[in-house]
Formats: sequence, structure tokens, C-alpha cells
Amino acid sequence: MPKLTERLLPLILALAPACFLSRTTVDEPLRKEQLARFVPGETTAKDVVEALGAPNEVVQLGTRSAYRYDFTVEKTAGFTLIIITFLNDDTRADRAWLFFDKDDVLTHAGSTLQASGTEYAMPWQTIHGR
Amino acid sequence: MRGLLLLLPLLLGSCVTFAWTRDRRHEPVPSAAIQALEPARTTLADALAALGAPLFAWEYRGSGAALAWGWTDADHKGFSVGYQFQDTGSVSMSYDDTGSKLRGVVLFFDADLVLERVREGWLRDLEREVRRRPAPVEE
Repeated sequence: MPKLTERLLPLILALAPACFLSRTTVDEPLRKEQLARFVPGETTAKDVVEALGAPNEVVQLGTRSAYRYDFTVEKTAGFTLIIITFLNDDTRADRAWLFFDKDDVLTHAGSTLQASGTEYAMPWQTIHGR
Repeated sequence: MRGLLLLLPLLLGSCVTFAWTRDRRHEPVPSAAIQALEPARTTLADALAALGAPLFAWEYRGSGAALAWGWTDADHKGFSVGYQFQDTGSVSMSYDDTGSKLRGVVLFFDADLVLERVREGWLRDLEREVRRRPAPVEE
């Protein structure tokens, strides 16, 4: 006669495993070579909008302005075991800020391209060195 | 008795849960890069080259700019207890050891876009110091 544990095992196995992976992206990736074409003192806000489309945000800085472009990737990994849940979110982005003077000519540009490094992980795992 | 013990987690699953969640957002700015910034000398171009693109930009004192870099690594462990009363609603409470917040650094640039000061801390608190309605633009 099988032990109670053995009888319950199929039930436990049926209910226990529940894991998922999810990847969410917002907007289009930014390309380094595309951003490199923007030259302070020459490129205008119109040139930027023609190349990249509408910015995610436009900020007024006195008589100046700044445009933000983003591409965000979020990777979520989760695991549930009856009453225990482990969940990890990793979010990284490609981001560019372009600063214009009062005549809408580019004065400064800054970019960070990290979206491709987004990873699936569990909460206890080290990613990106932390 | 042993059978009941085995069934207990299954029964508790509907009202008691333990969750370990971790939320990692964006890359922290290296502290060496922040230390290298010099008020009255570092320009906006220097800061963008050293730190990359900020998360936020706000108008600061009319013609200046405040730029914010932020990140978080929120490690969250907690039990939660809840009861569901059919379709009438639910009651729940949780015991957590941390809250999810964005840490960061804000650089304040004057009207000539030269660094005026550096503030580090919770971005939500730093933002309150800066954010206000943008200055009117003269036609």
C-alpha cells in the first residue's frame, strides 16, 4: 500500500510548479550611429524630430529646451511554489537627451545605451555586478 | 497527522504567502564619476560625457537646468496575509522590510550651464526641491 506522501505527490507536483518570464519593451531602440549624426552647432530640433520622430518628453529650460528619447526594456522572472513567490524585475533603457538653444539649434547631447543588457534573473542572483 | 501537515501549505496558499521580490532599475552612476565633478568648473557637456543621459531634466532658477540620474535595487522580502470574502471584497495586510524607491544624484547648472552644486539622495525628495512651473517665455 503506497504511503500517504506517495499518494499526495502527484497532487503536489501538479500544483507546485508555476514560473514565468515576461519581457516588456516601450518604444524603439536608439542606435548609436543615428545619435552620432547629431552635431552641436549644426543640427536643429527639426532635424532631430525628422530622424527620431516625436520625443518622449520636451522640457523647457528658460529660453532653451531639451528633448528626451527613450527605449525601455523590462524583463521579469517569477517562480511560485504554493505559498512562496520569487520575483525579479530588471529594467534598463536606451536614453538620449538633446539640448537646444533659443533658436532650436543643438548645443549638447548625452546618451546612455543599456537596454540590450537587461537580464532575466532570480532575486538572489547577481546581475550587472550587483 | 503527517498527511495534514502536507496539506497545510496547500490550504494556506490561499491566505498566507511569502514573497521575495527584487526590482533593479537602471545603472547606478559610479561614485568616482560624481566625486570628479567640480562646482564652478564642470560644464553640462562634461557631466553628460561622464554620466551619460540623465533620467530627468528640470528647469532651475529660470535659465538653469537640474539634471537627475536615478537607479534602484530594491530587495523586498515579506509575508502577506489576506482573506477573500466572496465577491464583496478582501482584507489583507503585509509585513515588509524595505520600500521601493529610486536613489539618485541631481546636478544643478546655472544659466551658463556650469555646475553649481551636486545633491545626492532619494530622487523623490530631491525632485521636490526643484520642480515648479516653467518660467514664462517672452514672445
